[in-house]
Amino acid sequence: MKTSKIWIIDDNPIDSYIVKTMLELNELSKDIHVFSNNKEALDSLEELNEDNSDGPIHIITENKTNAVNGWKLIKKMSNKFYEKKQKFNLKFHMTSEKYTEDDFEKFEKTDPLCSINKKPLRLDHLINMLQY
Amino acid sequence: MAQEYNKNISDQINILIQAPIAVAFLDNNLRYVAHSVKWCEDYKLQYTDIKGMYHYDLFPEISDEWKEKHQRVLKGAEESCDEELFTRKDGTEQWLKWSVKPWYNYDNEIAGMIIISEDITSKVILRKRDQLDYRILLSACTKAKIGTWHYNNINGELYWSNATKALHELPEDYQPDASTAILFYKEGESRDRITQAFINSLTKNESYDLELELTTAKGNSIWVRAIGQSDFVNGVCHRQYGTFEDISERKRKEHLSNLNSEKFQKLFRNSKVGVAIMDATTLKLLDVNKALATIVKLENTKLLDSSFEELIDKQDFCLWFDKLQKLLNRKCDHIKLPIKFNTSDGSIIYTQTICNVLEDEYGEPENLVIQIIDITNEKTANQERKVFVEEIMRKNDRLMNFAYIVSHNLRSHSSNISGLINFYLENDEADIKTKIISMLNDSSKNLNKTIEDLNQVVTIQTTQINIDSIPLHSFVQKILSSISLELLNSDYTINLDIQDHLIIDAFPPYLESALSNLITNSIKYRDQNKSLIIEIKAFQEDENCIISIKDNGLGIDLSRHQEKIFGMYKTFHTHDDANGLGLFMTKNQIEAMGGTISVKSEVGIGSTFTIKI
Repeated sequence: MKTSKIWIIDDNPIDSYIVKTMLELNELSKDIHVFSNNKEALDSLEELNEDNSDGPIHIITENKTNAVNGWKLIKKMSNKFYEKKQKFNLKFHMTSEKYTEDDFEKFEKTDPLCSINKKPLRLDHLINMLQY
Repeated sequence: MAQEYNKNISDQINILIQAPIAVAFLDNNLRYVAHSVKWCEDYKLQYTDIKGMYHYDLFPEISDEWKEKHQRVLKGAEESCDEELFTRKDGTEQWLKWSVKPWYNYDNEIAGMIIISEDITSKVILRKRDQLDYRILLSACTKAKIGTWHYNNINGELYWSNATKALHELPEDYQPDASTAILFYKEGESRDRITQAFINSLTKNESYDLELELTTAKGNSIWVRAIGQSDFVNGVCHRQYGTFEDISERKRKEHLSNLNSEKFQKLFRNSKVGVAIMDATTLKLLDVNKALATIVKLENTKLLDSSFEELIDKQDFCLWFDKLQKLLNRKCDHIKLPIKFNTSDGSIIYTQTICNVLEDEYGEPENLVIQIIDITNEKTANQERKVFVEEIMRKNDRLMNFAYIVSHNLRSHSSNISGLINFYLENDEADIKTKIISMLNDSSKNLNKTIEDLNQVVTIQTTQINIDSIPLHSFVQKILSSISLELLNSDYTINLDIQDHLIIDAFPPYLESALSNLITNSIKYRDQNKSLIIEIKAFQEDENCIISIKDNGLGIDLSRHQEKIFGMYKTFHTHDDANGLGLFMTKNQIEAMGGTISVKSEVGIGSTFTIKI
């Protein structure tokens, strides 16, 4: 099975640890990056530019916390790529303990967002995400 | 003898010619023998001398009846009439007083006739006009219920016109009597006054015009206007006369109007509502009541010197004046407008006003009546309520935010725990299991911490706070000594600028917690490249105490975080102790004591937190 490049952006280290460990143990990915806030993730975009991998990058982000706002992250990343006229195959996955109606509406309208998942994440959630 | 006789005749004829009346001598053949000049004038004859002329030639219109009359006279009859109308051939009418007699010659035989006439046309016309006027007057008086009367003071006769009798509800054939007539007037004031007036008129020739009450023959009570005057001849009253008018209806209306006016006056004077009456054109105040003087804190006399425009807010006046034009043009029937009054002591009074127009007898706007109700208290209460509601809304928002955060955090921990347990069960690797247990431990601690935080916040919302007067200088020093342990490791300066006697009214545990938190924050988020300087200032401003804590630390980017700075679980710098609860708690504590907290900050320069209690 071809493994994918995965970014985990979550300010809760326990969540990040569980996701990262589950992915590794099940050999779903060998290229996993964990960020605890948006800024770190955006800063790492440069790293992506140099990478010539043509496979998809799955970005598992959080709905809304103090340090991470998945919606803003999607917008900012998309804008950055649009400005640089680069075409990366970015697949965003939202995670949260709780969603509002508003979030579901945004999900419909946000193209690069592939899935919306309820925490705690289980293995089947992750496998499902990587299907996109 | 004959000569003397002829001379006599000639003299007499001369006298006749000059006579001031129209006189003519005719012979038996009705030819003129002699006539006065006046004769030709009165009959407008074209000749001045008509001697020898035939009477019927001069007056061809003379009727057969008159011709017979002439014949009778020539036989000795005498004819006369005091007033007779003659229509001349040119159509003119002439009223004449005339007499025709035969005249006799020496032999005592009828020699002809003498015609004497007097033109009384103008007198007759005048009299007839007077009669007509009199009839019109009488009819008008009757219709207007104005009766007339006269009293002959010589023979004691009293005359009442039919209208006078009708006013007394008496039959037309009633014969009034001076001694009883006065008894129709009501006993007491009315009768006394008319009696006195009658006597004064009789003795001093004073006319009178009185409004009196009388009781009619049928026992009805009416009001009359009695006018009387006297005719005096040689200092003696010969006659008294006057008119008599039923004014009951007018009196009734007057009474009603007086009653209404009295009611209005009572309302106007004693009303709790301010009322001003002003001229519709100049807008000068014509009359004001006490209530208005109280509302605008000006004496009545000063108010009456002012115009409406001077008393009220300029913008309100423009708005009101605009509406006034519509009112005066009858596009609306009143103006209802909230208006701000500028009082003499410079304060502003909020009022609700209603303005109506009073019209003159021609229906033109004359005066404006403005009712003014002081609604300052309501307005203030409203504003206070608004502030209160806003505060409640803010509190509610904070609570909602708090509930959201708490539920999110609790959920986050419970989700962690459940996620970890699942993962634990699915894994066999000992290393990972150990790691998971350690994480479960962390998660459990975090859950406890969150519940503690929650408890702290809830405590602020529910604690009964007791405000004390705290000497601030020593209070701050005590706080500084309690946190000095933390400061030992730092290179710092603290400048205290608090007057010794400054007292602040606050709840000591909250004030301590808030100040301690702000000072600790300044230490925590210091700029490592600078020596830390904290300035703590406090002073009294009006009824509030202002405390400011200024540092030269890292600062916060307010353009990004302004709204979040006092939010729960918001952190702006990476620091091990940052839990995102400090400023949230501080704000809640300050607000619980009725104070406010604000912040000014710039990244790289430092922050200043200002507390106002």
